[in-house]
Amino acid sequence: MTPFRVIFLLACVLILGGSGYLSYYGIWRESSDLNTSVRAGSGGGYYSNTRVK
Amino acid sequence: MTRLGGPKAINCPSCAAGLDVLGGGRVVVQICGYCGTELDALDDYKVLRTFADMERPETPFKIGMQGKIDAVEYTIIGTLGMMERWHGMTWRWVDHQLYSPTHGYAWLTFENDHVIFTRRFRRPLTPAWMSTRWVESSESPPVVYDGRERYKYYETSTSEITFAEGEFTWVPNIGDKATTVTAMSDAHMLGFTDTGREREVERSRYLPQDETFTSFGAKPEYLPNRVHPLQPFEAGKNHAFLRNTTLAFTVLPLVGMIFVKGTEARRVVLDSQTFSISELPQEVSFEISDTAKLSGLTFVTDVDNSWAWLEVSLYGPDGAPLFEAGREVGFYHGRDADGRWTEGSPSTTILFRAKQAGTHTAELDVTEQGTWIGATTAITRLSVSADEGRSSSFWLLLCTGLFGLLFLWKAAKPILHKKARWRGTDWTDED
Repeated sequence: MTPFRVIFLLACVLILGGSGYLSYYGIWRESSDLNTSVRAGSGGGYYSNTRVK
Repeated sequence: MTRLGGPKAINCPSCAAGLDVLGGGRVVVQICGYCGTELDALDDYKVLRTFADMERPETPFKIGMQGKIDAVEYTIIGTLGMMERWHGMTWRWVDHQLYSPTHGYAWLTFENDHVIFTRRFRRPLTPAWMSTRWVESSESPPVVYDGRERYKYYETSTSEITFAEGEFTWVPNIGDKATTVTAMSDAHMLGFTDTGREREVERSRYLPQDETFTSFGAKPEYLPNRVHPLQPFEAGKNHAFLRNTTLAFTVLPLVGMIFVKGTEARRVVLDSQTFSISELPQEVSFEISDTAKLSGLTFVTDVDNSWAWLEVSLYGPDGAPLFEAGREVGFYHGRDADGRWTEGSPSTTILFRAKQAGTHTAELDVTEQGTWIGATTAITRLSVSADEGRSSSFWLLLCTGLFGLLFLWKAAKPILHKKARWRGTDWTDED
């Protein structure tokens, strides 16, 4: 087994393991349209323009 | 075959240039490379005629070079410039006459920076000859067999001699044309040439390029930039490894997806609750215990050719806001010339990750709504449910796609190479 093959196989295993981990926990798959920068005391709905900020 | 006792060199009787005599006993003419005079090799090198204004073709090989092909030493004794014209296009190549005292005469062809070796083919063929008439009247590409290989029709070409220099076993005439029908197997090409005076079959094959150039001491000016019809596919030492590995890693993420879905253990934490639009805004609470995986808030509406704008705020167990979101839900359908169509969906899901376990509270409202044209029903109710323990197959799907593309690239290479080899065929199924 040449060093290239060893490195390529390791990279494949890492990519597979990484994507398996990300998929299992759903990492970075939260809805992308969530506004999370909301402070306590918000006046209500983000789109009703009554937020305290 | 070797001419015993003959001269090793002569002086051209026309221009007095020194010319080496390299060929064997079958040589009939020698053409001076300096003045174009054709000399009779069988009659004391008497002047036969002169070819004037010949344009010397470009080739890294020259007369007198010696090299080994299949461990047989050949000497280049002649050079022919060749040309084919068809539909306003011109192809040029150079044929070098080779001579070996033990193996006789052959051709070394320099074409589009590729080197090809050609010899007379004497093995019996079935059928024995591929004629232009057969090609023109055949419904499918004509095929001949030599007992070992199957040769399928490739092209019919009419070539013309534009330059001649050195010794030849026949008498080349500048401007002489010959029609050749070629047929190709996986490794060889047969050429069926009928000059009107004689019929001959020659077989060509691709030579190991670097080895041949080095052996003859020739230095090619350019590297080939197109696949030659006879060029074998060079797989590279890691080709099979990369193809097989990428195939395995295309399948493994699919197995991973089955595992991820099989162990997802999604749990409903809020059974579906339905509110009339007039009852909104509303608050719903649910208990989340799994903060490692994704949770989902699913909304189902009764929009029908209409839309509604949902606003959702989620608060964690400590009362701190986790997120706010606004989302349009719209569902449209109808019928047109292509049949029934639908667009959008009456439901939507918000995916989020809880920061801490405990009771979460969602505030829901529909702040805007509208209807489309035709039979429409504005939103009247909103159902909400929540679950936790969600996974996502997205990354494994991306992984399988990535390795799948790499596998296709590797697996397609030999197929694309074979396609490139046959690109020059003039056979079309309409013929």
